[in-house]
Amino acid sequence: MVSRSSRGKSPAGDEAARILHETDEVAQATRGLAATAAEIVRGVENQTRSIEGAVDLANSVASSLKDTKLQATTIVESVEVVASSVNELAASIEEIDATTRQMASSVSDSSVTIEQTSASIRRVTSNAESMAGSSTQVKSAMLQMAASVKQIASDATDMTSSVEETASTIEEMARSVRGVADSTVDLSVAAEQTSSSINEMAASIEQVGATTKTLSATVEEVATSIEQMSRSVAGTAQNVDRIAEAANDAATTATELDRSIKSVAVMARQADEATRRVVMSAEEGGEAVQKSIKGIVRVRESIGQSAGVIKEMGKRASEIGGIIGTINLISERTNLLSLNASIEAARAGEAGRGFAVVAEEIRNLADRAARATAEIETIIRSLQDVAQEAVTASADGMRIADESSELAEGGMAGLRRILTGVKESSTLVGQIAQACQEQANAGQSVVTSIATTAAEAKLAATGTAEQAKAAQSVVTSTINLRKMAVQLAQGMDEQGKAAREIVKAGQSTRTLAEQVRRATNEQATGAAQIAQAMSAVRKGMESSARAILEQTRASDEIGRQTDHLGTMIESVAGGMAEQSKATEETARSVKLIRQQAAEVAKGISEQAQACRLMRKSVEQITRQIALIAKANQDHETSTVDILQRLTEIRSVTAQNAVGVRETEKGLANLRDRTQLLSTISEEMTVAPKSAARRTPPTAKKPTRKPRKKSS
Amino acid sequence: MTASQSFDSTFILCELAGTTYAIRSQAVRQMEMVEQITPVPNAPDFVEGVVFSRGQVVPAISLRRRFGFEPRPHDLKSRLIVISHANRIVGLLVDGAREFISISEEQQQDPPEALAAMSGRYLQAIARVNERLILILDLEAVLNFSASLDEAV
Repeated sequence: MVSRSSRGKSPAGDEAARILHETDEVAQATRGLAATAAEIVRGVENQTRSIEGAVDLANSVASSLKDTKLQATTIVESVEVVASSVNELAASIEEIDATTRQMASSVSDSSVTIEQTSASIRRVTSNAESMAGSSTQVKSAMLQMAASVKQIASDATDMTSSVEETASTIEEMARSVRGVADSTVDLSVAAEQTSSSINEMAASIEQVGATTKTLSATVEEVATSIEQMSRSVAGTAQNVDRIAEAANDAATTATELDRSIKSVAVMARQADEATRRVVMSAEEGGEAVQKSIKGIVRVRESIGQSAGVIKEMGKRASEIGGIIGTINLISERTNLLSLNASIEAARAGEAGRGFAVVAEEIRNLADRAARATAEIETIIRSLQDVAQEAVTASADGMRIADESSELAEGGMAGLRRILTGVKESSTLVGQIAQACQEQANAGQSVVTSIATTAAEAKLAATGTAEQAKAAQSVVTSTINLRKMAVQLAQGMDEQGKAAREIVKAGQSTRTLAEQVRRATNEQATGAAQIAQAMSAVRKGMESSARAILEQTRASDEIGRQTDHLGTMIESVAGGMAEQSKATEETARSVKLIRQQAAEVAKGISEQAQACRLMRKSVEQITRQIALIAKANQDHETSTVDILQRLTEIRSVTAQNAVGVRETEKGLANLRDRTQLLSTISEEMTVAPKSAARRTPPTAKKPTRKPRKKSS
Repeated sequence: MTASQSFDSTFILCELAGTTYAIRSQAVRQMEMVEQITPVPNAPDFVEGVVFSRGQVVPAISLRRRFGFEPRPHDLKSRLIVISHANRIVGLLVDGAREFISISEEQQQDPPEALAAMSGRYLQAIARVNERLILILDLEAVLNFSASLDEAV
């Protein structure tokens, strides 16, 4: 439209009709321009705010992400994108500015020409009729536009919410980045530890490698030993069988032994008791012998005494014998005398008769005396014999007593020896009894243990048979083990090599971890800053949303105005019918206006595109920020450049704003002039007076009016 | 017992080698204990010697030797019976003589003829007194050694 307006301006000084036509077009173009300029102004204002935010963001990013090369490059790229769009904007605005200035002068120049071309306004009025129809179309187009604006508004709201989400996501990301940073610190420490552990592990793997070689050798030895063991286990199995048999035999024997030990113990106890009795008897015997020795001594003494008494008695008996001899002699003589007397008496005959009787009497007495004496003699003789025997016997008794005494003494000594021996044997028997008891106990336990041994031997036999089997399988396993040990040794060698490489890798990992830790720390800081920046972006988005809401409201207003326009156009329609030529012209102009409106729509869509670009840029920025998080190079200079550029952009934008405001002012002037022009045209064309007055606002309405209302 | 009878038939009983002999008391002068016998040379073997009896030397004849018994030493009971027969006084040595009894004719009987040849020549009779068998000596036969005796005395 710039080129068109500039084209429309350059042949200004030619024909009046053409000027009028061109002026009309210029008016239309100006309205469109004004609308675009207003859009631009708002966009620029928003842009300015966004740029302000971006500058702040860039400042914070610059201060925070000084180290990040990628950040800087991406920022540069995105800023370049922004800058290019801004440049484009600036260029178009500059062009607008220049064109507007030219247009201002052209308009002032063309005002004269417009007066000349007032006649042609009739055609304009005729055009107005067609314009009325066009305005209906415009209205519907405006409604569509309003709907589209609402769509944009809702899109912006969605965008805001998505930005919100993005911001919160970024905050979460920042938090998680912080967590990652902490984790990275831990990781670094862990990497340190891992590195040292890997070193130790490598060393231990080396040792294990060496040990495995030793192990391999040992396994060889073990394999040999196990084979030997297997053989010996087989032998042991046989031996254990034999042992089991022997244990059974031993159990039987031990039972018998136990029985015999018990009987021996019983016998020993009996022997002990008997010995005790013997001791008692021997002691009693000793006492008796002692007593008998004493008795023998006393007997000897008494025998001696008796012998003396008997000898005395013998002597007396001999004396009595002598006396008896005398008595015998006397009795014999008496007998003799009496016999002689009897003989004499017998001789004397009768005279001697009495004498004979006396002699006989005497003889009888003498015979009695002789008989008694003979008896006494017999008694004495036997008494003497007895005494003699007694003497002999007592002598024998004494001798026997002496011998008995000696024998008793000997017997006493023998008894003492017997007593000693018996006491010793009693002690020994007691010990034997005790030993037998112990032996019995031991025998019992031997029986028990042998029984246990037999049972265990059976178990052992079973177990050993299983052992033999197991040993066979062990031998098989050992052969495998030996192979495996060889393989293990080889594997350990390889492991040792790998471990050395791991050590190297661990060291580099440690370095990397350290770097990662540093980067993550920086990332965390950057993320925090990004979060801050995002909040700023969110604020900007909120204001954008507000602006879009205002736009929406303005669109609504446009709708309402368009309705109003519709009614007005309907009312104008009647009047406009007569002015067909002018109205046709006007209709053409309205077509242009429609074109302009389409262009306005285009500009809005461009703006929306710009917004989308911005959003994309922001998204890109977000993405790039995520990428930035991974990067770690110094880009301070670039950021500073960006900052400078941003500042420049800001200043340029400010200038743009100023220029746009000036444009606005120029446009206002232009509008006034166009109004004047319209008035002139009105005066020129008396009939469509009211229509001419209402035309300029319809052209300006889409941009101007909402802008005033919003501001 | 009557005096005559008693006188005639009183006897001194003596013991010799277990047999009781009886000697007529009329023939007995006295009785003595055997004390000192003085042996005499060239005397018969039955004459043991001589003894002094009441102032007289009396030959002492051992009836044991005379009767052919074993001689024996004298003791307290040995007796010397001094006999006076046929004007001769002879002492008879016996083992013992302690009784003076009377034996009636009815109590006496002749010795058996079977004994007469040998020992019967010294026995006058055999008497039985109170179940005792008593041999009554024939002093004549006993003392019939006069020649030799005279030669000896």
